[in-house]
Amino acid sequence: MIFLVSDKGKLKVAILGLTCCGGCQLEILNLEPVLLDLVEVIELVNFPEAQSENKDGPYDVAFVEGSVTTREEIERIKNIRKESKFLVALGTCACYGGVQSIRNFGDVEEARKQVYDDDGSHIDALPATGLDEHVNVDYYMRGCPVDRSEIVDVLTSLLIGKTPEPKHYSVCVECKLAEYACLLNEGKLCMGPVTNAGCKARCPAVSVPCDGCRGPYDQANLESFIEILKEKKISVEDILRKFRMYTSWAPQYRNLKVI
Amino acid sequence: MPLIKKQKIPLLVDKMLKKFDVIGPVPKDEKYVFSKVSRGEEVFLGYDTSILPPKKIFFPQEETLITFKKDEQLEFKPALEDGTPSKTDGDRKFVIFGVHACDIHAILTLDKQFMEVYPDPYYISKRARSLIIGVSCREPKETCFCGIMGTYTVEKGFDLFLEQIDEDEFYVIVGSDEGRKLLSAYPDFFEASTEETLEKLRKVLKEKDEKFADSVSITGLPTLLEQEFDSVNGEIWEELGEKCLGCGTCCLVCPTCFCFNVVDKVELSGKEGLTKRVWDSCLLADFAVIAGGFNFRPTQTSRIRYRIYHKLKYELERGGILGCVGCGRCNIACPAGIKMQDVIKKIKGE
Ligand code: SF4
Ligand code: SF4
Ligand code: SF4
Ligand code: SF4
Ligand code: SF4
Repeated sequence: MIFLVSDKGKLKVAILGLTCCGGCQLEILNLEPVLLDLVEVIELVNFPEAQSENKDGPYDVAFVEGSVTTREEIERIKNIRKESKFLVALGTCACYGGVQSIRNFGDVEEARKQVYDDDGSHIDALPATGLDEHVNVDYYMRGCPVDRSEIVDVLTSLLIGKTPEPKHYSVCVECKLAEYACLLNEGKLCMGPVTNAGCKARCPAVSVPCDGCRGPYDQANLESFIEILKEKKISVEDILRKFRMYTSWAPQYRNLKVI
Repeated sequence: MPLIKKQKIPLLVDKMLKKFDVIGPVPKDEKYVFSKVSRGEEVFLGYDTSILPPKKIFFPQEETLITFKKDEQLEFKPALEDGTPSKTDGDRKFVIFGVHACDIHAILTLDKQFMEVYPDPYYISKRARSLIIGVSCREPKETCFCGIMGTYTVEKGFDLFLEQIDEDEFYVIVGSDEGRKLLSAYPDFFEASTEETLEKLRKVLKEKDEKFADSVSITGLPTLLEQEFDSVNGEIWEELGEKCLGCGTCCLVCPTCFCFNVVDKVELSGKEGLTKRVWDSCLLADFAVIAGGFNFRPTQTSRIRYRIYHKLKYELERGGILGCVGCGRCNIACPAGIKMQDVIKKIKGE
């Protein structure tokens, strides 16, 4: 890992958005308690959602939220990549395409007509994908929205010259460490066993099954998981709907066979 | 030996709370967890099992080991007291009230690991301040296999053990000097046993053997496992590996698993931070990854096989301590329905 900053310099950071709800950038603004400490060590070069004076790159780190859905966005993300030493895909949309990638499974033309009637012809709509369909991503910060503490952890790692280490296990680990009762074992469709950890099992914490918003962890055993769900008499439609909810365009889920 | 009436137990706990912290099984989301109580009646002795074992009290899920700071120079400070149940009360002792026999066996296994094999000051400091009051189980749950592991009774590892002899009476077995002191500190709560109660006790223990004991035993398991490693019944491991989701749950809920990972957490300022340990599990994909990214156990098959070997072979061989006490928590929690006793039976060819 290269040291991104010298002893005295601040980390030059950009926080930018493509197609999404803007919720992950909001999480950055919600970092209030540590925001002052943050600006001690980083310089927000470009953050259109929060400040009026913004500059173009180069950046040490760019956090980019949102999915790529138009030709213009492809150009934008390619430019951002060129200008950034370290690119973070901020949130599930940037990692996988997000909720909106469900449209990739239908006819885009059809969808365009449904939403914009006949005047939709000027709308440039491509399949919604994560950033990495077009550029290299250095760190995937999953979650819809992301977990604030992970933003701080990643910045801290970069500041001290360490490669930020993603988690390679499922939500179940965090769920068990917090001693929550297991919802899957009660027969509910909880995506915990195949979903990447990092949210501290936010949903099971309030007795709501995990919806899989963080996407699959790298060694998720999908075949066995789906078999288990079927044994619990959960319908194939419900299973497919869950996998299609947040990260349907994740490579492991894209061509998923449930039956 | 004395006797205690069921209705007196909450009152005894209330009295103890004046001197000790008390941690006992309490209901949570239709399950039970060990938690600090503030009133005696919170302790629910009829609990079936707890989601996490009492191990978390001595060896918490996450524990700060060292804090560090950098002003003029780098300063390290061990954080011994962190995470102990009675941190705010200094050296206050704590009572774990209502530990089942299997879990007492498990604590003995951890004692061996953290007090003898690798003396661990963090564990020892908390263990030294603990008093353990056990309670018997009247029926094994479907998921328990203490009968196979021989852990439904226990002779040491507790200060007092309450053996229930009928609906509202417990026979009190003293397991240590500390336990004896408890009896004399709270004389109003106990009464002397009679010939009749001894008769009841004998009967209960005899019935227990009938209810709990299993025709399957662990004798010979290490040798059998020796043969199973690669071939013979190689398909056992393949089958398990295909089913296992690698969620790590079985280790995380296990009262004898002692593996942990050590991680540093640095503050944004870069000037202070801490080193902590967090429970780990050999069923997680990166458990055996070493520098350079090489993974000694790259497949789920190799990982689940390792867990079974560690539980049923390596620990037994290493000084005869049990790596599994048959508490059944992994059976209950495993989303893939993998059951330790089924694995044992399969290996034994039963
Ligand atoms: S509730 Fe969900 S996340 Fe928690 S252990 Fe069960 S399956 Fe895993
Ligand atoms: S529990 Fe699942 S759905 Fe909920 S925040 Fe975590 S990953 Fe997302
Ligand atoms: S392996 Fe399972 S049954 Fe054995 S002690 Fe651990 S949790 Fe209990
Ligand atoms: S190696 Fe696995 S089974 Fe053994 S103690 Fe560690 S986590 Fe538990
Ligand atoms: S609890 Fe079951 S599925 Fe999860 S790692 Fe253990 S054996 Fe595998």
